[in-house]
Amino acid sequence: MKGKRFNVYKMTLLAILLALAVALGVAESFLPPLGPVGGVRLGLANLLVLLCLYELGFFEALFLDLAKVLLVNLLRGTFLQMGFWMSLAGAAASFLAMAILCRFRFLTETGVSAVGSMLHSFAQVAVGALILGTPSVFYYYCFLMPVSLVTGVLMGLLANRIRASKIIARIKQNHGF
Amino acid sequence: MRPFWKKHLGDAIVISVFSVLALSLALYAALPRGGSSSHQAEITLDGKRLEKNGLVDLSSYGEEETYFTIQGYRGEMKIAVKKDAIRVAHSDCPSQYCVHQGWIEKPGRPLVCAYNHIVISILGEEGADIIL
Repeated sequence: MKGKRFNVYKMTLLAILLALAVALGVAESFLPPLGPVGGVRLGLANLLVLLCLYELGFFEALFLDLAKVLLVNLLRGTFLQMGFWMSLAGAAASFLAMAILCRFRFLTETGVSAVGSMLHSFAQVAVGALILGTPSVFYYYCFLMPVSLVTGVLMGLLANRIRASKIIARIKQNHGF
Repeated sequence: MRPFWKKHLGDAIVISVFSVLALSLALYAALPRGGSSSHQAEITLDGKRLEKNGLVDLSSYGEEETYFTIQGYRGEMKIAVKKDAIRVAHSDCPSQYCVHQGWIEKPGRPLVCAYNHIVISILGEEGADIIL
C-alpha cells in the first residue's frame, strides 16, 4: 500500500528510528556525564529527532521525541520521577524551537540543533528548579550551556552530513513517501 | 550548490552569539566570587526548609568537622559542618554528585542531591569579583 499519508514503509522507518533513539538514549546514560551534575548527556538521540524533523515531518518527529522520552525512562525505571519530568520538559521545549527553526533556510541542521540543545538543558534545569523549589539550581546552567552548545553543534553537523549522503532521501524515493 | 561557508553562515552567526553568552556564564561560575556570606546554611527538601537543621548557623562551629544526619526524599544524608563551611559527607543516592561537590562557603553555588530532593545553600548576597 503506497501513498503519502499512511505508508507502511514510512511507519517502519519511523519505528526503526525510534528503536535507534531509545537504544542510544539508554546507552548514553551509562557513559559518565559531561558535567558536575547528573543528566548531562551527549544527546545522541537528538540527532535522530532532527533527521526525522527534516525528512519525515513534524508529527512524526514529535511522536519520535515523546515516545523516546517515555520509553527511555520506562526502561531505566525512572518513569514519573524528577528526571522524567525534566527530560519531558526539555524535549518539548527544544522540539518546539527546532520545529519552528527548521523551516528557515537561514539555519542549517547545525544551528537548529545547537539552539535545541541549549533550550533542552535550560528547560531541564528550569523544571529541576521548580521541583526542588529553589532558583539556585540555575547555577548549574552555567556549566550546562557551553556543553549543550558543543554537543548540539556536533549532532547538527552529523545530521547535516547524513542528510547530504541522502540515505533517508533514497529510502523515501524508493518507497513512495 | 552554495559553498560550505555560505550555507552555514546563519549557523555561524547564531552559534557565535550563543558562545559569547555561554562563555560569560562559564566565566561567571568559574571565577572566584565575592559576595557576603551570612554564615547561615539553608537545607531544603522540595523547597521547604527542614524543621530540624533547616537553618544551620555555620559560625558556631569550630575548625573540626561535625556531622549530623538529615532525611531526604529517598534516603539519609550525612552532612558535615565546620566553621563557615558545609558539605555532604555521605548520601544514599546512586550518583554521589552531592558528595563530590565538596565544601561550599559562599552563597551562589548550591549543593544539590536530586535523588533526595535536597538543596543546601548558603544564604547571603551573591557577588562577583569582576565587574564587566
